[in-house]
Amino acid sequence: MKRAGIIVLVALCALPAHGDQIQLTTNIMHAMTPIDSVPTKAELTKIFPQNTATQLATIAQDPGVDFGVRLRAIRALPQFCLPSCAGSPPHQSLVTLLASISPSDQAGTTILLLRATIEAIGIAKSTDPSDVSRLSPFLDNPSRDVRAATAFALRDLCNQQAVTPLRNRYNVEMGPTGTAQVRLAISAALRDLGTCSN
Amino acid sequence: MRHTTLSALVIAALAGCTGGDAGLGESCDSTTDCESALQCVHGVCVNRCQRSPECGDGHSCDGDGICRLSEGKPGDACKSEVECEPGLSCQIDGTAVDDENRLRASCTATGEGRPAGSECFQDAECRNGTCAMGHCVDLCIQTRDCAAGNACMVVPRVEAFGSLFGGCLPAGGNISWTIPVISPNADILLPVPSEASHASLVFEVEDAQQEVGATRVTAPSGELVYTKCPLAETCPADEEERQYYENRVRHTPQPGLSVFAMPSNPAIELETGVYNVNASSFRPNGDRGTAIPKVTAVVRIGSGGSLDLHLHFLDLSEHPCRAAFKNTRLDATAAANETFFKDDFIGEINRIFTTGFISISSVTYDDITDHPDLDGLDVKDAGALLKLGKYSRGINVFFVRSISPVGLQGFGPGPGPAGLARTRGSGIVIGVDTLCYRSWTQLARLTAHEIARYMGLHHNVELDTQWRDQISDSNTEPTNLMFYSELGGTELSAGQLEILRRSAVVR
Repeated sequence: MKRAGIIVLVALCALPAHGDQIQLTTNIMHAMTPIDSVPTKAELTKIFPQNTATQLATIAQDPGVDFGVRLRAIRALPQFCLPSCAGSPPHQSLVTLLASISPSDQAGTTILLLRATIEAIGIAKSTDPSDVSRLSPFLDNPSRDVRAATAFALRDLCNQQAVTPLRNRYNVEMGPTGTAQVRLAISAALRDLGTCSN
Repeated sequence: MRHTTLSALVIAALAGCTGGDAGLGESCDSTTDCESALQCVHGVCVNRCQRSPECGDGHSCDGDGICRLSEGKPGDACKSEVECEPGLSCQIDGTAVDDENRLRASCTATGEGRPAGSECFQDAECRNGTCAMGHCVDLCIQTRDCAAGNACMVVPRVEAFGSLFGGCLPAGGNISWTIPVISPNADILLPVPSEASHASLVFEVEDAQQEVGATRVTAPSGELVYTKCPLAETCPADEEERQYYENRVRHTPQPGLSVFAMPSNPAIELETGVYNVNASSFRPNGDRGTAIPKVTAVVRIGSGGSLDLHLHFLDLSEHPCRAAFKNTRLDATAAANETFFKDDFIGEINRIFTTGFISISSVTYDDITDHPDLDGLDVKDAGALLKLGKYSRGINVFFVRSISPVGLQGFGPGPGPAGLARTRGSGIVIGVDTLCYRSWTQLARLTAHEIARYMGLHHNVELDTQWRDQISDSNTEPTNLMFYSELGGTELSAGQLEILRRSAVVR
C-alpha cells in the first residue's frame, strides 16, 4: 500500500500541472522535428537546458502542441531515465499518457500517439512487472500497427511474462482476422525474448 | 600489303577533292567520283566517316571524313588504336612514359579477347590489350578515334601507378566496376579520368554487424581529402565529429554499407589521376574487422538533368492515415492514377527539382506484397528493404506504413550508392504515417530532402550550428531544402544544384 502511494505521488509529480504550457520557439520547433533522425539526449538538453524531462512530458501531454513535436517528445522521454526507468518521472509520464488514450479510438493521430507511447515504454525497459500487463491488452487493438508495435515493445521489456500473451495473440493472428505483419512481429518478439537478458 | 598501301595513298591524294556525281552505293575509282558527302571505299561510294571505327580495323577517319588505311607496323610507337595497321592494336608497353608524360604504347598483334567497352578485370581479357576502370578501352588521341557515344579522355592507369594515357570512354553516364580487395584492410586505387564529374566508392560487407568504409583517401596531387581515426579508442567522439565535418570529402564508415562520394563541394574539382584509398572493415567496438570489403567504383562522366523515380509500395491497406488517400488502399495502381498523388506529391517533387533544371522524367510504380515483416519498418532493418531496390538508374523510393523509432519520417543513406541496384542502401524509405498530421505537399518536401541527401547533399546546417555543409553559396536558413527539420523550405543554391546534377542517379 505504501509503495502504491509512492508510485501515485511520483506519477502526479511527473505530470505537469493542468494548464502548463511551454512556449515553443521556432528554433525549438525545428530542433524537435528532424526528418531523418530523432533528437538525441544531448540535443534535447541543449534545447531545454533545465528540467528537460519535465518539459518533454508537458509537451507530450499537450494536445495544443504541433503533433510532430508531440510524437518526438514522447519517444524522447526514455532517454531521461535510462538505464533504470522503473518509477522514474519519465516512465510515469508515459504510463499516465498511455492510460489517457482510448484504445478504441481509431483516429489516425490517436493510433500514432499510442504507437509512440507503447514504443517508448518498451524502450524504457523499466523492469516494472506491471508494464507487461499494461501493454498486453494492446495486442488486441483493432489497428495492426498498434498490435505490431506492442509485440516489439513487449520484446524490448525483456520480461518472460510477456511470452503467454504473445503466444495467445499469435494464435489469433493465425486466424482469418490476423495479419502476416503482426504474426511476424510476434514471432520475432518471441524469438528475441528467448535470448534476452536484463 | 603494297596494294593496300598504294590504295591508301591514292585515297589520301584525292581526299577533299569533290565534284563527282556517283551516288551512294554506286561504283567509283576514287573519292572524286562520288558526291561531296560520300567517299570511295573498295570501289563503292559510301558515306563519309565521322568516327574511325566506322572505317573498320586498321583505318582512321581523317578530318575530311575520309577513311585512311593505317600504317603502324608491329613494334611501331603509337598513341591511338587508329594508328596501327589491320590486325594490330595500340597497346601500352609498361610503365614508361614519353616526353608528354603519357604512357608509351606500340602496335601489337590484336588478341582474342573482348572488344572495347566490354567488362574486364585484366588486360589479357581485352582484344586490344587495355583494361581500365573495369572495361576494355581503346587508346586514342582524339574523340574521332573512338566509337560513337564515346569520347577520348585522359585515363589514369592503375597498373602504372597512375600514369596517364588517352582512352576511349563513354561520353556521358556512369562507368561502374568492382575493385578487387583481398583483406579486411587494404589499400586500393580509384582511377578518375579527365571528364569525370563525380566519383564514388561503395563499400559493402556481408556481415552487417561490422562497419565498412574508407579510413584515408589521398588525391592524385597528394592532398589528404579524407581521414578518420583508425581505431575508436584512439579518437574521442568530438574529434571524430570534427574530422567528419572538416574533411574535404565527408564520409564515415557504416554498418554493412557506406559510400565515399566526391566532390561534396562543387568548388573542389575532381583531380585526374588515381586516388589512393585505404578501405577497411571494423567491429562494432571500433577494432579492425574481419569482413573483407566489397568495393564498387562508380564514375560519372558529364552531368544530367533527368531524374527517374521508382516507387515501391509496401502493404498500406487499412492504414491509420488513409483519410489522406481517400480512405482507400494506397498501392501502385492508386498512386499512378490518383490526383492527390500525381499532383500534390510527384508534382511538388518535380517543382522542387525543376528549379535546378532537373526534371522528373519517368516514374515507375511497384507493389511489394511479399515482405510483411517490412510493412512497419524498424530502421535497423532498412538494409533488408533497400536491398529490394532493383533499379540502378534513378532512385528507389519505398513507402512503408511506419518507421520505428516513431518520429523518423524518412531514412536513406547520405550519400547513397548512386547507380547501383540491390545493395543495402539502394533507395530511400518514406513513412506514410506522417500523413496523419502533414499534407502530401509536406511529405513531398521531406521526400525531396531525402532524395537530395541520397544524391550527395548534406544538411545545409546541423542542429549544432557550428557545422554546416561545405557549399559556399548555400545559406543556413530554414528555407533551404536541406534544412534538417520537416518544417523547412525547398530552396536550393546554385552550388547545391551543381552537386545534384553531377549525381550518378541523374541522366
